[in-house]
Amino acid sequence: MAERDAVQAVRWETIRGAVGGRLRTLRGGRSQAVLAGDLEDLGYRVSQSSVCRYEQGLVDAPLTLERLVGWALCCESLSAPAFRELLALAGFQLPWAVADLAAMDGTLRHTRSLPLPDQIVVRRRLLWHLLGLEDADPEWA
Amino acid sequence: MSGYAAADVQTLIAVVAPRLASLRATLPVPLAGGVPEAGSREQATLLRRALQEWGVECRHAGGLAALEAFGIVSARGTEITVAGDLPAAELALAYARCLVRLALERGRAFATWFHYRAGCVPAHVTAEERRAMAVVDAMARALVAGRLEATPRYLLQTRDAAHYGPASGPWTECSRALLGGLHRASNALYWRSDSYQAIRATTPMVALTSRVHALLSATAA
Repeated sequence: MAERDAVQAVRWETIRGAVGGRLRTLRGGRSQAVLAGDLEDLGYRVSQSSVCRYEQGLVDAPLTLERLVGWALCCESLSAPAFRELLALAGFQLPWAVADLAAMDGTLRHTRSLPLPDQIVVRRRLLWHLLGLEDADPEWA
Repeated sequence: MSGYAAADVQTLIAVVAPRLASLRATLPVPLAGGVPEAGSREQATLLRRALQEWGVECRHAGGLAALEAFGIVSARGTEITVAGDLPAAELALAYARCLVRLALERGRAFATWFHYRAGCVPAHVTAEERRAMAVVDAMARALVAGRLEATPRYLLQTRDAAHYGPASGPWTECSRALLGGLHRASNALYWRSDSYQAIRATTPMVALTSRVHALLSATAA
């Protein structure tokens, strides 16, 4: 294992329980099956059982930033402060002002109320703006 | 706002408006009212190209059920996504609404807007958002119609950026203060009242406001 991967693995080992618990909270009333379906629509291959195991902090493979953000965007209870906290938990900082966080909350409110086809289009574009991910990126495969 | 300043959007609108007006003037008057499909297609193309030249990425998306268009502004740039199944006239209006939105969403590191199809506006939309939608729609319709004078002259400008004319001497100061007050009142009314939006777009009102502005500006000059 490369040194960088080893560092990531150690790091994930220390945070996976907290991250999983936070994702479980953010999922709210949605079922794990629905969440897995939403993630698949977004381009991530995460099975229902993987959702369950990640939420329990049982998976050894680290959840990448891309998957973490995509996962969060599919959660029912995501808010801008919760998003910032989740990223901070994973070691990333969201450099936004209060007004930008409020705009993010408004965005999430609008996105959640959309029909599913619209939600998928909006989430994919949000992923690009949050992370620079395009549909053609390997992570989407 | 990344990529351009709010003032740049004013310039963009100022450039596009006369081109839309001249395009409109060359079109035959339809017997049944409305805009000919061919003319709408040209309007949509003109607006899209103007947006693209200004650095706004314009995307089409198939399968949008409730949204007519949405836009995202972030550090990665500004983009709009428009439903791929819109008829030409609605497409032109969708681009025009996005253009007006760009002028409203200023100075944010992150901003989004959602324009809904008719009958698809969700119940959770706040009163403020509804007002913004109404203003954006009225401005966009005026822009597409080539009648930007049917909207308040300084509606999309910040108070600090709006200059109502040069001033020197007591009378010009008075004229400018009065002119500024009238423009601010017009802007405020336009934001709050659908009725005023309609009245402001009528030909007599356009003529009246133009004359008052010219009179007070001339005094101020």
